[in-house]
Amino acid sequence: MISLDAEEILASIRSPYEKSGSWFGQAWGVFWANSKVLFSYRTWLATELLGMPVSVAIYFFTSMLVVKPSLADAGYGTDYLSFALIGVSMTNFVWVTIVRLSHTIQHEVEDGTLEVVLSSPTRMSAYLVGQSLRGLLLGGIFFIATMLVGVTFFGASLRTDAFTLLYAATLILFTLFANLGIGVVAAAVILVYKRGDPVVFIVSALTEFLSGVVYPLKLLQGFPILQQISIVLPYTYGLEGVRHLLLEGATLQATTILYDFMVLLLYVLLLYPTAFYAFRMSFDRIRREGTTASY
Amino acid sequence: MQQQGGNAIQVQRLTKIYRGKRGRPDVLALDKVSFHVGWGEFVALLGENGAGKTTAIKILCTLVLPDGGEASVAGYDVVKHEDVVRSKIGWMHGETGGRALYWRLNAWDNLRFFAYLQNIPRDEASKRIRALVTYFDLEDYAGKLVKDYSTGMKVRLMLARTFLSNPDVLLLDEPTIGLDTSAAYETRRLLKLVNEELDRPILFTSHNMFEVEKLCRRLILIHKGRVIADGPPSRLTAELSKADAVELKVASAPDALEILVQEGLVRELLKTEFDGETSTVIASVRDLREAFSAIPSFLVGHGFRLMSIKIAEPSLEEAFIRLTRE
Repeated sequence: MISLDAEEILASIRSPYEKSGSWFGQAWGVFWANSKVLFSYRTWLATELLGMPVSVAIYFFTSMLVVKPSLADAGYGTDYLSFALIGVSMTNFVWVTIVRLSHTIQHEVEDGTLEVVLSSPTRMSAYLVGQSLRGLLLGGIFFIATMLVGVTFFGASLRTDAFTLLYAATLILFTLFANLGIGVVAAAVILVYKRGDPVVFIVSALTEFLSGVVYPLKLLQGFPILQQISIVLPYTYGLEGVRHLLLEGATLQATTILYDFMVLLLYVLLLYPTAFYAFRMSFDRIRREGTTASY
Repeated sequence: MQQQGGNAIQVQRLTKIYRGKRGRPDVLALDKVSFHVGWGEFVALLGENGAGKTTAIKILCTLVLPDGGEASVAGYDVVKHEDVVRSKIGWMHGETGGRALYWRLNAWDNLRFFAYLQNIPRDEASKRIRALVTYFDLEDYAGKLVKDYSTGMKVRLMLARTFLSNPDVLLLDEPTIGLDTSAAYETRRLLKLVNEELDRPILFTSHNMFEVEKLCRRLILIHKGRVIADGPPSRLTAELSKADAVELKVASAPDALEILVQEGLVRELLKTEFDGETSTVIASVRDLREAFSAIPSFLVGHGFRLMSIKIAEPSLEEAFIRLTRE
């Protein structure tokens, strides 16, 4: 049945080699394998991409109903489609990236594949970064596709010169990094409770509602408590900044943009150590409970 | 292979309690378990389902934290030096039936992924993956997604993954479960070679006593979280044969011999065989001397034709059953 002799396989196994010992190699491996898994679901991917023009069309027609002076009053011009397009596509980008991390960990616990990873010399940070990069790739594809559909087919009016796009890409990545800390906390919770995703649910609901995704933040001025909550959410700063860049052509030197960057940096510095510590604690807890897999 | 001093695996008074949730009682999975596996040894960890074997193996591969005692692999404490331990072990959990694979990847990619995690350089990984895929007879299917594999193919792929990094210590939890006869044979052959030629210590669990006898020079029997026997299979069976089992050949159907239990002459009929005329029965008794005088006279007195009675040499399977029942 087996064509290779056992002695040959022994010779192959015993041949010495230098371990590469690379954190990047492990992170890349996690990213590469999980991306392949994700893109093997071709029907799902095609459906998601085909659904994009529909969601953009909804905002296109909504824009006809929106009272434009309130937008102009908030400093976003009068084009609601462009305003909403940035809000919705960037929100999707952030949440696809974050949700992917916790959902993948949920699946890996159920399938038992997480045990294989955890019993190997994989650095936990490499695993989390690799998984996050996979979400980033998927979210990025959806984001770019949505923006292209909005600009090309529905006439969204965005600044598209090279510098503005570069500034916007930088701020979007910063926003993602700040929010990925929340994703790691969500993954830590999933690790212990296996089902449900309370962290992502709560933060995404608050963000979509209070970060000015589909309406200008100025509208919250009449609701002080809601406004206070919106100020605490890191996403609020990223979205504000990107809108200023893409709708008004602000530069990185602008005070408001610098302020957004600083706040996001603060979140990165605060959230990451907390998030990685939470993940480590969850990992140790499931090891105490003997629930590294739930097959 | 760099061998640290001492044993490949050292377990000292290892205790694990799974805390009950929502009013359920705690489960004592391991109760001060101690054993060792020397470098180059091939040892079976035996026990019934729920005895604590998988918990012990998972502690050794750093997936479960113990509540007491100590365990080390290749000289490294599994709690204090978990990262080093992970780089030394090859672990496989056959009971998952191949679940612990990426079903949306093919065999090449599953192994390539694991090579990344194990920090195996790309060219070396390619060479090893090709050899392992060929050895485990996965060549024709290696380009297909694992979700379309049979259970046996998945188990073979998990075995290939275990050997990929040439680990110093192998921890194999039911490695041949789900394999067909031929694949199980080849796997046993490879395990034996890896143990003998590469001097790799192997701790494995199995419910297949034939396999255990074929492969292991020592076995550790664990029951309800405690080690109840530790030694070569032959010693275990020999000790039991001296203890309290007799083999009877009687010209009668085996059902009729239940009377021996009812009358208290034997404790239990451990094994019965009937060839149409004669029953061969292995029965445990309280006292051998008493059994040799009482059983023949009782059988003859009740009209049975006793053809022979002797001290039973239990098989490993019988020994296992008897020890775990006691």
